[in-house]
Amino acid sequence: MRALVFAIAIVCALAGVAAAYPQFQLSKDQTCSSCHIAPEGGDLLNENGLNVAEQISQYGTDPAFINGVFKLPAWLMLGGDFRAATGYVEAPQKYLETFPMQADIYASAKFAGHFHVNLTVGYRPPEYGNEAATQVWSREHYIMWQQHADDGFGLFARVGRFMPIFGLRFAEHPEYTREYGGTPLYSETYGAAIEYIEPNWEAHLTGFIEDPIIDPVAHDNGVAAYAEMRPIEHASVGLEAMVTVGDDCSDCAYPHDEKYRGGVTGKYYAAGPGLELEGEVQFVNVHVETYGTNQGVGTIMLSKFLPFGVMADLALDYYNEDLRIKGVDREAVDLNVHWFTTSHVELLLTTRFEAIHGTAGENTPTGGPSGSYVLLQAHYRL
Amino acid sequence: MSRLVWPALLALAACGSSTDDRPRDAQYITDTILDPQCGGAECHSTFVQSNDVVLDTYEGMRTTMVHFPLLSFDSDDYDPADPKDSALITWVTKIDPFNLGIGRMPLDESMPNADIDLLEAWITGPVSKADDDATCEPGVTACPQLSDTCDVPDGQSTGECFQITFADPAHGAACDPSQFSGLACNGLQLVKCTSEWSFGAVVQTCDSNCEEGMCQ
Repeated sequence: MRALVFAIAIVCALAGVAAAYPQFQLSKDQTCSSCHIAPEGGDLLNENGLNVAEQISQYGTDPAFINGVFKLPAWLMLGGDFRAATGYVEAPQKYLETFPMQADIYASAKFAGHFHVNLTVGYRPPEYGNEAATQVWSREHYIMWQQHADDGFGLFARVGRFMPIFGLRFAEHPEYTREYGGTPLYSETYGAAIEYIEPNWEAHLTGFIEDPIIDPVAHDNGVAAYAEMRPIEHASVGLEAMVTVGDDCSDCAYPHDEKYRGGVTGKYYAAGPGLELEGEVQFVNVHVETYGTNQGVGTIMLSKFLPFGVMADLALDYYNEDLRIKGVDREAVDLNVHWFTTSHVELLLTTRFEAIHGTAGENTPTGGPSGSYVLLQAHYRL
Repeated sequence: MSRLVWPALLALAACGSSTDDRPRDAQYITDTILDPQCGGAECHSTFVQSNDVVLDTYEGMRTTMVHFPLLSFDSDDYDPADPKDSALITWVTKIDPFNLGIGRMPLDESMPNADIDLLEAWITGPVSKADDDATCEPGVTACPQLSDTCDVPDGQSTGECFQITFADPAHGAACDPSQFSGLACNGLQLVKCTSEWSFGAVVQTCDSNCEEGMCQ
């Protein structure tokens, strides 16, 4: 029993879904939609994306669905992602664990020329009290209209369940700009978005509501806006804003909390050395009852594309839950090494060292225990 | 590049005031500390409720504090007098809380000491101290009042008796007004539980024990 509780607890802390790599934007193509069906990236790859998957891998096998064994009709695309991880975590208790991360199947059906129905179905943590019915759930399902049927540019409009489009959208959900930056794990919800994408700029506006069907991760209604300009081929700058009103307490004097997020993003790809630098910084104003709190969140990542299908990321994270108060900030350094072995298989080593309030020690009033992890992840793209 | 960025992060880390004047309030603590650090999707969110604990909304948090419970205000286990010994603080400070083999919370990254100090200050709430004009010697001479505290200065064997009052511990998550006919124990005091889930007017002071909303 003790071992079972321990295992459940570890999975609770570390399991998760991973999506697209924003490192590939600018280094492989100008926009996420150049390689993905969804305008913000992630999930299913289009033909160009499949070619990139083949090119970057060491052993470049057939990148199509199940290695091209099944020929799908032109109107249908299928795919999936499966991930599991094993490794060592210290936070500060030490443990070794192996756990599943993701098991998702994707489908996209095109109809009437300009419309898509996109569906993501897979394992997710079940809803408390409704476990049998919610062990498998659809993280995303939406209908999308796109202006140009044959490329990833122009106007897009969609309605359904998806993640509000905001910021750099790192695949690694422990990056602070995901975890504390408005798009934590499993925070997809119902909304509508209107998006416009051109090679040198793009803009996304999403309105969203708290999921009315199952207990949501984000108990918020809100609006998210993200715009990105690419003044030169290998650089981009972006602006982001999000306003959310949280459904915190139905019988309280102050039933809502409000969060106002604003930030900037930037990317630069140096083709010569094969280096991509990208970063996102957010300022967050939180209103709870009559109190206001200012927070800061940031992630900066340097990625190096190496031979033999290897990509290495060095990332620095910063989160301060109250800029006025000393000792409530945390910093992390991540080193991730991806090895794209075939078009479908990726092995990923993820490591992190995290400190509370910089170099302050565990026994100082402004410190706290540091933490770290080393995890080996296996990823199969269907 | 990291030669520039890491010092910048450390410089940011040095910011802030050493005086923590954040509100000692359950709703504020939920939204700024517990939800971001403990209410993650697969942990103590409303939809997973790992180990029946919910910390991502104020409603879930106060229910957890009172009914799980993570805090106790009965006279025989009174957390405001020693918040470090409360279940809530034990879970975020001990490597293996209650020897359950689960691990210190949060499991993936620790809570800053400043946040733990704030949680303790919130559990204790505002404190008033009245001198009872009596002396005491631990194990030898007790204070005249059962609710007195014997305060012995370092290096001495005798101390002064004080009446310490915890007027509003764990504001916003101390009691459930729908439980025990709206009554609750705040140590030896039987009090009304307000609609804000805080302790209100004193109904009576119990002679020996107060548990589960009644004098024993």
